[in-house]
Amino acid sequence: MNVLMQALLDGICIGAIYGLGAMGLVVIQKSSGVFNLAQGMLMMVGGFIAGSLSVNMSLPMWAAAVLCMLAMALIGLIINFLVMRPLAGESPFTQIMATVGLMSILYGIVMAIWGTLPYIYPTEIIPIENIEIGVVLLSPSYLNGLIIAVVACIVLSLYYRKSREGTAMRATSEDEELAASVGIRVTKVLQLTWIIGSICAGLAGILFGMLGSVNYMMGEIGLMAIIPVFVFGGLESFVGALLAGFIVGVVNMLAGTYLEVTFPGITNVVPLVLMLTILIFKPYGLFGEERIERV
Amino acid sequence: MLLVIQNLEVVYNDVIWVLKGVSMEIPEKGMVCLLGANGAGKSTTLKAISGVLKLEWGEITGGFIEFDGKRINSLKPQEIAEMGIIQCFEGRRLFKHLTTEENLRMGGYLLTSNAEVRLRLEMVYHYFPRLVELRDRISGYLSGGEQQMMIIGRALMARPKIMLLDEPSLGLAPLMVKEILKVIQKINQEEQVAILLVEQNTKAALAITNYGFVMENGRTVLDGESEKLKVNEDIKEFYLGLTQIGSRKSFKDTKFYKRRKRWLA
Ligand SMILES: Nc1ncnc2c1ncn2[C@@H]1O[C@H](COP(=O)(O)OP(=O)(O)O)[C@@H](O)[C@H]1O
Ligand SMILES: [Mg+2]
Repeated sequence: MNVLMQALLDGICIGAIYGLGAMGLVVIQKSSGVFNLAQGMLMMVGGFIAGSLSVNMSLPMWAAAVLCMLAMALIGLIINFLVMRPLAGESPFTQIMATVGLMSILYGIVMAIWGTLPYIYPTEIIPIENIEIGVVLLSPSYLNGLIIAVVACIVLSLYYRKSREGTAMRATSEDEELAASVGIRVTKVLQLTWIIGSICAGLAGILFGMLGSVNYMMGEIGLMAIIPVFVFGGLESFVGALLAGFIVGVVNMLAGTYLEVTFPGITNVVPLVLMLTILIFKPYGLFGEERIERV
Repeated sequence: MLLVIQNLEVVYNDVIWVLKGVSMEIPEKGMVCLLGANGAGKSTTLKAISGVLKLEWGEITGGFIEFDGKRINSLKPQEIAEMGIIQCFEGRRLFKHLTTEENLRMGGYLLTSNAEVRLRLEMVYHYFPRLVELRDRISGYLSGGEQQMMIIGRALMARPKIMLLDEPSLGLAPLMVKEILKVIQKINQEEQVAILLVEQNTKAALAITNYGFVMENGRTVLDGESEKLKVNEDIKEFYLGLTQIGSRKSFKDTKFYKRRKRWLA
């Protein structure tokens, strides 16, 4: 029973971090229909940047996280300028292939700068103590992940729902030509989505690294973890991504706790099997937004 | 003149020559219609003016467009919108997952002061009172007429000097058409906004405009005061391929009239 409770709780926290990574995919998918396969690598880059700042430069963790977000914003800006903007108007397939290229470029950069040595963060972003709930224990790094991901989800949702720029982003994702005709600068909107998407990736990377270490394998592992979350979440909803993250995280944890001993390696496969199974019954994902087809 | 178009030529995808010589003049506060059969190039003309042509791989290859005395051929859609040229696309294009009021607010995207946005919203609700109760409704679920009202309202939000309306009556019930055209006329008179109205509904368009241009095969071939065009039965027959409003001539007849037209020209 304790073991089960612990697995559920940890699963939710880890899942929240997956959800945050997937929200970065949602932002970009929503406005340009591009599935950013480099998201995992961006997570890793963020993790390493924060590592350099906190370990090598001894900055407090919260400051490292803030600076890392700024750096990620800059990286998103550069990616948009060098890669995505020249491809604007090309088919989503072409653009997705470009993100594959981006993936290996980012990997090469990480290898060149940081190599294969892992980083272990000295502290958490939000300083908290262990929390004991009955017999289960919630460790600070897990709770950090949950809190930050939930806050990010709320902020992103409100930004999209309520702000002028957020509404313009939704408008652009529906009809670029119409958006341009009312004076929205479509290229600015796409730029903003890459900035936000990269910041989400960076934050998720830090939180992911906080659970253990930041290392050169995080890019692939991260991507494999967030793809099912992204797809479950219905591709276009932040809340969907978070909830799907909870589910995948819990399933992951349960598989790790109960099945890994008998079937080594099954932990990472279960979410993907679950994804395929659910897609057969719910092609738009669990939380896919209803599309209006009349008009 | 507010808007001057001279010998405009447009090519799509580098090869499809669609506009071959369009010339028009629209005065300040003018109320002008642009008529022509399907495929004549009316929508392309509007897109050339508003600049969105470039987003569809279209290019102006000849002639010019001047607005307020300035060349706007090569400006971006956003820059043209900022100058006060606002287009309503054909086929009731809207942000269908946004609410009515969000659509209207997007129309006023370029307005910088909140006070002006509120003022403009009030104005739209004044012209289209029915939109008030629909303000929080997802616009994709509104009726066709309500959507069209919202779309014209959206254009009005942008502080337009001229509104380019592409077949606002398309697919609407006759009563709704009448109501909407009436409001368009009212907006023209009360808000000092020039209107360029593209319509298949020739009779209705000529009834509310002062001047009309007729296009055929990518060229403006005829223009005159709406009163005069109205009595000129020929335009319906020769240029619009319509005998009665709304009913299309059979292909055989159209060919016949095309021959006669060439003889006339
Ligand atoms: N984006 C486009 N690419 C290629 N050809 C186009 C495009 N848009 C319109 N056309 C062609 O240009 C011609 C004129 O179209 P259009 O301007 O829509 O006419 P109208 O509005 O008078 O019906 C048509 O033959 C149409 O097929
Ligand atoms: Mg048309």
